[in-house]
Amino acid sequence: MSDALLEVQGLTVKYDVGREGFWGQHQTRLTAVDDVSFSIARGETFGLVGESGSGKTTTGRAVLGKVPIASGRVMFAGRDITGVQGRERRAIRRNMQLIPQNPYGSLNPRMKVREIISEPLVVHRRFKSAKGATERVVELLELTGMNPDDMHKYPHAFSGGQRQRIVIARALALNPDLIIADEPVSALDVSIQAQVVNLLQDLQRRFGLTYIFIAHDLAVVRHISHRIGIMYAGKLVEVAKGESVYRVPVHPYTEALLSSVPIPDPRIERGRSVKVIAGEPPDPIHPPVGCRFHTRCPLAEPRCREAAPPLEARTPGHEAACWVR
Amino acid sequence: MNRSDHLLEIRNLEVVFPTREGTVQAVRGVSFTVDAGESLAVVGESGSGKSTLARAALGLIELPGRIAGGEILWRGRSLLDKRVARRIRGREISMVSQDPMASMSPILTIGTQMTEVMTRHLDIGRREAFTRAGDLLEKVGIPDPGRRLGQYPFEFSGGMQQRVVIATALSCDPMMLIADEPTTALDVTTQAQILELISSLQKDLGLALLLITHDLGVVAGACDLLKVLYAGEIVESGTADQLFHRPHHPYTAALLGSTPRLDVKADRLMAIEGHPPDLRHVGGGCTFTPRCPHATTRCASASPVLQPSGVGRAYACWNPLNGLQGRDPSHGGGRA
Repeated sequence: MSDALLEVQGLTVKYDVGREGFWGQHQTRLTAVDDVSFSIARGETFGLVGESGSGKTTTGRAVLGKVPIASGRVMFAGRDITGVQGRERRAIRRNMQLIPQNPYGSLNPRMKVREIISEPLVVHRRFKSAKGATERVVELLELTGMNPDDMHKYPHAFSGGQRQRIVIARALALNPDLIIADEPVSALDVSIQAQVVNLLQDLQRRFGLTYIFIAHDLAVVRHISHRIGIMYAGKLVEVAKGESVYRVPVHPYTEALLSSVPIPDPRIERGRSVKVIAGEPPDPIHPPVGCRFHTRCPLAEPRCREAAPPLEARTPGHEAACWVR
Repeated sequence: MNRSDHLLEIRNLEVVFPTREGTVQAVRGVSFTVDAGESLAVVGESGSGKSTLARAALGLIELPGRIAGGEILWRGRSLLDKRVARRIRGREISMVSQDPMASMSPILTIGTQMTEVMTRHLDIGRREAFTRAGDLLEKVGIPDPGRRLGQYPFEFSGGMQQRVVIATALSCDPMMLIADEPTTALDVTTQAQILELISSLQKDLGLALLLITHDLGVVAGACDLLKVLYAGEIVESGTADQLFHRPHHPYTAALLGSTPRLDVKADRLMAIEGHPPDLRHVGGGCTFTPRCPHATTRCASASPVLQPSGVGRAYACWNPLNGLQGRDPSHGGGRA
């Protein structure tokens, strides 16, 4: 695939979480992401959905090189960037930016907006100082719907939605190709959330940006994404176009997840039978053998308990990992 | 004693929080009633005053906050009287809040905490309360209640903790349950479980439910009646069907338009430009004016009052929408 901007192959990430055994002789490892593969085309929005602990954030961090990769490869613009560190990593990071969830935690309260937005420009030696970058800062503030005078203020002067705009302005400073947005609107009220989602879509059209949009809210993800990947307990269980995931879900977990999302329409809600799935996601340190979902799956068969099903194409562009369907 | 035929009646409630930068008017003249067995949702965004309202209904406004005006009546008795409120809270009205860990002590077992509530409010001994606690856990879908009663809150998952909180809330056979964002901290599949539990308990036990939430999706399935709160005021009220399908207030319509839907693919969400007002400096006129696409000069100068339009339906707007006509179909939120 030549038009893929990002290709993730068999990505596995493990965290050390303590020691086991009488003498503490065994390292306990938690597999946060297990053999995950997907690719993203230039200009596309790839939505990564899952519940807490599904590995969606870790996947994003692994792409950014912020967590060590146990196995697998990350290819960016045709180049293998797995485990690249130091100066080379910095060069890559110019093209890959993160929009984190909490706009309160991600802005230094002691820096003025101009310093915050120009920081990447200074770090990457585009400009010598925040002052020198003023023109670019003004341009970025205008792009994100802020007032240029805002650059002289501190973050505390802004609401959550405005702060997220500042975070977006900073992420755009170096003209990146890929933006990894990790729950970028989860902390915002719905009316403000809509403003930020619209802004992200406008910026994508204008600059041909590629997004990985990580979120737990399926409705937002479906709205913004071209393709969606569903994660469960560290595994990617289904990947397809947004429309196909919603219309013809293959994996029983996808189906249950979709059914759990309430629809803001009382007539639909009354007529709808919610497929409530019992139980909870498995312990990530001791995940079940076989398909991770078999402990809660209504369709589980003996083979589901024996081996993990591979992610395979069902129809062109629609992949799922399930033995039964 | 005041007369009221309703279970809960709130009249012209005003709640203020003095701060160094001025007094925040969190709830501004809110009136509504809840009858036995009714399910009512109060929807609003951050700062709309919805949680303050819930706390006020339990007599839980704490200093520096204060009730500056109005009346809260529970079966005709004023909850502004702290002694009355203390007797009723946890017994006749109970509450489930967003963060289950904040409602429980981390250093006491579930069994101890549940029995404490019952021995305090009901005329029963510890042993009987303990048996009852086990039955309640079973009722809210916690397997192996006998063992679970001896465990501490941290040994439960978020969804299970919320079930424990619900069981505790039900332990004294209350008449009304106030649920303040009960599923906001939970994953969506767990949310579905908890919402189903609350709905079925409400119906089975004939409880009145006051659900406080920001999520229109949650409301649609859980409640019959709906109040929309903006900047401390009710801007529209009616049945869920009326408000979802024929909103009169532009804010209600905008809230619906800005909510992405899983079942309808919109090209663009209908964002509400601007921000909610600063409740320390509320002037005259409708507070939604600066963000309202239908605002006229009148809106900025005179405050519209909540006026009834048909049975159980009211709105506070000078230029009401008749339904969905007010919404541009080329924008998001349009129905497929």
